[in-house]
Amino acid sequence: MKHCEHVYGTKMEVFIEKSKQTLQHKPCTGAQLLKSLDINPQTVLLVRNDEVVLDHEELSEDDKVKILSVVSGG
Amino acid sequence: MNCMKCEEKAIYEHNNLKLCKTHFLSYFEDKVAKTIKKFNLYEKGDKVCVAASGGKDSLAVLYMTSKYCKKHHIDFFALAIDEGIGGYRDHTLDDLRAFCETHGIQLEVASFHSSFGQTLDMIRDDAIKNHNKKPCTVCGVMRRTLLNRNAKRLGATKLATGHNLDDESQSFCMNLFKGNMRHNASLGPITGINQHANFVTRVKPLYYILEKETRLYTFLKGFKVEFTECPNIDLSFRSVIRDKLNELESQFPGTKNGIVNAFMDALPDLKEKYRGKNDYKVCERCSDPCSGKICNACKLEEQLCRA
Ligand code: SF4
Ligand SMILES: [Zn+2]
Ligand SMILES: [Zn+2]
Repeated sequence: MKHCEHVYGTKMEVFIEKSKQTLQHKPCTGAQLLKSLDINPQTVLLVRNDEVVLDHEELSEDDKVKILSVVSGG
Repeated sequence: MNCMKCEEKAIYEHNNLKLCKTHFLSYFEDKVAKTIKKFNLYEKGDKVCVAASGGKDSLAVLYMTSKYCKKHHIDFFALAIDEGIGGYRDHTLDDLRAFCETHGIQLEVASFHSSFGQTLDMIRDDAIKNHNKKPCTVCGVMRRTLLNRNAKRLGATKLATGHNLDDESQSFCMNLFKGNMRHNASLGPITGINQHANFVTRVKPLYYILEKETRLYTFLKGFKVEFTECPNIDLSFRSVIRDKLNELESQFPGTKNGIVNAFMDALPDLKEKYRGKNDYKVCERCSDPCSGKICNACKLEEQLCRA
């Protein structure tokens, strides 16, 4: 997995369900976020403040973002 | 971006679809109901057994079955198999029990331990070291057998599983790449080439549903599904195919549908071609249908569970 871009100042909190990781990322669109984390959009749901959002939407610094895994294991 | 059917904000976009929450939920439910009707997966007089594990696919198929069967006055229940995989199945079974309680669904549980005298955890190392068998192979064969035996014992006429469009397009490609069209002939919304009195007919109500759609549906309905992974998981070939298909789907939306639609077009001919060619006998020990004298589950039981 590629590392996210660290920008000092504004950051949003991103939780990745599959790896149970929480990281900080600069605000961007959902599609940009997934791209920078090398995650295929087909394999996840993007959730902002507990609401599902489409990939093209802007995520901002106060948002709590979750990337939920679509596949189940076993 | 707005829903194509109303003024609400779209939360799902795929191919030509743009749907808000309300319209996504009805799109999902209509699609499953249509699949059940079109292929007569559930009919009046059936007793439907839903193979349930507690994972998102099984909760979705269980919930949809419950909705459909209550409406059409068809009997149904859930059946779970506890393989005995510590730290994994115990958790998903807890989720399943809670779900069935909330929704008033009858749940039956059969276990490897009570049926074969051993849990998967207990025979796992022996299977790998002394019999060159992967845990998933052992698990798959024994689970399938227990599902069939217990569904039959409880009077079920149909056995529903949570297989979705992703599973089906992956299986089709895997068989194709291995040059095994006979295995492809037994795929489809109703599994198998020849029906057998000792085999409860397997059906797949989520056949045309994408895995992502199931996850979204369970999320929107507030079903508790956490990402957990079986410690034995071995997806070597399947995971390669899965990743490739997801890449293709991103580049060319509709790829998975295309594969399954083309496959469905050829399926009647495929079934015809292979029908009757693998006439089942019945296992001498358990009377399950099988191709030799003794079925694979009874062979494994003898090798692994009677040390
Ligand atoms: S991953 Fe393998 S061992 Fe685990 S539940 Fe699935 S088939 Fe069984
Ligand atoms: Zn709408
Ligand atoms: Zn047998």
